[in-house]
Amino acid sequence: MRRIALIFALALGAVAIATVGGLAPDAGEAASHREAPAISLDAPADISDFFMFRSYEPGHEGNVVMIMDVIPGEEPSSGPNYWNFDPSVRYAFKIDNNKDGKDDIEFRVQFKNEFRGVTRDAGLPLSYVALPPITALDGSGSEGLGLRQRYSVTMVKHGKRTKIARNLIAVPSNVGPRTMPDYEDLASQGVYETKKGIRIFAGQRQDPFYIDLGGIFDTLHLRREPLPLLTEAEDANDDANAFGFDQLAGFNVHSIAIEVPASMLTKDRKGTNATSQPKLGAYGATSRQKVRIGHRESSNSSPWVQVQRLANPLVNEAIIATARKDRWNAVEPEDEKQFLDFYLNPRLAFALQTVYGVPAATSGRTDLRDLLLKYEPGDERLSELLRLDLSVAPTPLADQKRLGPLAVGGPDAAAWPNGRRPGDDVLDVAVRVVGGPNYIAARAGDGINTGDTPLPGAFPFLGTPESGFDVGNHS
Amino acid sequence: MRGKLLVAGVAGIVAVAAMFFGGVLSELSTAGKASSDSARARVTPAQASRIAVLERVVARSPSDGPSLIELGLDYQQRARETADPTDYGRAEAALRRGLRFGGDRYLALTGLAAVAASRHRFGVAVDLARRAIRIDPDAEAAYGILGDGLVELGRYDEGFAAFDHMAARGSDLPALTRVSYARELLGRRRQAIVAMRMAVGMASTPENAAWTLVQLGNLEFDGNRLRAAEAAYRQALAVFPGYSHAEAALARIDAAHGRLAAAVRRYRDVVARMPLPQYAIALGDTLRAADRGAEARETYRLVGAIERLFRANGVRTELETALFDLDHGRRLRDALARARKAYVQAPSIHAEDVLAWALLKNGRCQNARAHSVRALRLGTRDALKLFHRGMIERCLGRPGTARSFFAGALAVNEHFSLLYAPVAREALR
Repeated sequence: MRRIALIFALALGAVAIATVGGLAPDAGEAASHREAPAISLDAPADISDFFMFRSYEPGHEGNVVMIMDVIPGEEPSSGPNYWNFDPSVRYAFKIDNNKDGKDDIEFRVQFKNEFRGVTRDAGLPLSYVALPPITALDGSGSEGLGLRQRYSVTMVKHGKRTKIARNLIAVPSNVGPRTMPDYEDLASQGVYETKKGIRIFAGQRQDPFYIDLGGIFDTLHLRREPLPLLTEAEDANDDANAFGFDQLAGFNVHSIAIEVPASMLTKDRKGTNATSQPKLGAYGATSRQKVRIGHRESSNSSPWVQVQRLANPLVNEAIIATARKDRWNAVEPEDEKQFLDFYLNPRLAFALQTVYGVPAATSGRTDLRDLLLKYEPGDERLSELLRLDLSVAPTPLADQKRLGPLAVGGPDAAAWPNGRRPGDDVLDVAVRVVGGPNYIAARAGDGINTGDTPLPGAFPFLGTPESGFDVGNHS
Repeated sequence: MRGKLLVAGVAGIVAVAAMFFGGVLSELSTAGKASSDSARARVTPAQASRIAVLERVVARSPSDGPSLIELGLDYQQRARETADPTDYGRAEAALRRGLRFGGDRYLALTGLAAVAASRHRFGVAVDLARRAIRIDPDAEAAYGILGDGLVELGRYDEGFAAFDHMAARGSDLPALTRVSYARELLGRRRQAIVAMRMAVGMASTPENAAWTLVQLGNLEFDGNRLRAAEAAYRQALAVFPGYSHAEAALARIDAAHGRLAAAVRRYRDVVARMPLPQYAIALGDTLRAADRGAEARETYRLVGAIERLFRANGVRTELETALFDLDHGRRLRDALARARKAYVQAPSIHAEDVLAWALLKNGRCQNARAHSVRALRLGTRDALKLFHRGMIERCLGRPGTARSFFAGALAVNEHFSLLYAPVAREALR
């Protein structure tokens, strides 16, 4: 989910949502519990995007890639703390491999903060400092990495937990060329590969989502009159924007990416070509431990409580138009039936119709239900999952079409809603599919077809983040 | 007078402190002095410049609600880190203006609640926190301050419910530190330590990590585990060199081990940088324990000056000043009046205990006992409260009961007080 409003609040300066103190220290007791921080300095466990696709990196097409982006709208110049994962959060990728909507495999990622190095010894309460410039995540060249995050990855399958990796290091925010003279080299040190062929990355990346955010949320005030329509030529050009502003350009995000051989995910443990059940469903989820004061001496059960989930993009914003989004977030994907009304009668369709005066398909949308909540049309069970058909070959990066099934000149079958790749234009597809035939035919969209820098074709598939020195998104 | 004190602010107090301790400051090692200087400016350079930038912004656009609120929150944070109470007024003014000019109401109200709580106006804090919660029932922070306020008002069930609510959607550092405090109040020190350890693992800035480590150390110290306490304090300093609260805590460890001269040096360094009443008092008591009475008396005068500054900046200080006077045998009747006033304003178990002590010192032992019983009603394993009860029982002519309370106090923490642990030990001989 994109906490859209937060993006603008954060642009004013991250620590604005600052530590609001508790009570002053009490004379009677030396600095007691008082003056406790009241708000975490980290952004909440906010998942902005979830991607899943067969790798389109040459030689890796038998692997599945899953990426979770968190902390949307990172302002690159947000020193001195910049941006970090939240150690109190468990980040998880959850996969259903037998089409019953419930997760069968889980990959859990958990972070820990280390305060270390030159900044500590020099008495500088800073996270990163060029003493000397940071050229390594560990050992010589890492002395300036005052705040470092280590993480572990655990796979849970049939109730059994296996540690896939431990003590990996998250790639820090891109501070600037003096502190981190060769950021891409530094970031590449954060790409790990295990013996079983699993690749893992956690750290800052450029936010791949492109959208005219202000336009969309100013009641669909997109920047072409009288209607926000693209010509066929504009629609066919995935490298240029037709109209509007990509208001996420210049912002970063934190990403956790994992690449796994498909045979590790399928029920019959066979690879992409051989498996008899190639349809996977997945989502990203964040959880926190629920610790109560407790009234028994030995109360130490602190269950993990899901605070957010994300499968298909824009469901929470465009489809689930309820004020109690926290309730939606806490619910498991296989319990989506209670929200069925929102899929059958999408509010976004009403909004499009009202704003543009063009008839939209506002009710009886069993097509949306089947698209987003089912593996096969005949399924009885409904679950909100991002579904990937492993039998569809990945499209090489140069041939990818952002509009997927609606692309000019023929569909790109390896695009959303068959999995989701960083380059897929989920907004245009969602507006057209939810709007209905009129919107598809007219080529409605926000006019933004691409981010400002090209996406890489190799793991972790997201671009170098903007540096804090070079980019300051001031209003 | 008030205006003068406001202008003087922390700089004034520090100047006064420097006059007293000028000679001592030169004794500090170079490294210590360097860290002392940088710690004084331990509003980080980035934060200082952010405050400066925001001050310019709102000077140019006085009705920029969001910037005003951001500035108000930064002032509150600065007060937390520097113990300069003049920032409370600045914070309040900025937040109120921000509220008027269309800033985020939830943030403004939560910030104002925090300022009120810092000034020990807990009823106001509770009201403001409730208003914030009405605006955004799902946001965590206001529940923390609501709970803080209710706990200080002696409404423990409601306060603990607020803390549990805060922790319900997943526990982060602010929630865990409060869960820990609640467990401590309920006499469950081991579980309090468990929660505080979890919180340490979640700190995202050196200041938060150091603060939490000091809390952890205090939990250990108060449970007579000095080695574990010292380890936590040293870890705090490793993460945030020169952190005043950690230095003061190590001074307390020094004193507990009888290293009084070393304790005095540490406390002086702390008070020079962060003139909080409790550290000045600790310095004075350590000097007294070291038979340096004249210096102790000078320090106690400094305590008065600091507390007048806090009062001038809207902080209620009746409870703290009453306790100080009672412990040092000064103005006992006036101290009783202040203790009563503090108790009426905020009847926490701490206020009950100080009132009990005040009544005892004024010869009203029966009344004192009633309040002491209430002070211990949660089952808190608090050595000082147990000691006070022992003195009250002795006054009531029950030496056996008194001795068991003295033994109880020392069993919780044999180093519970420089002044009074020896009294308890003496009584048991």
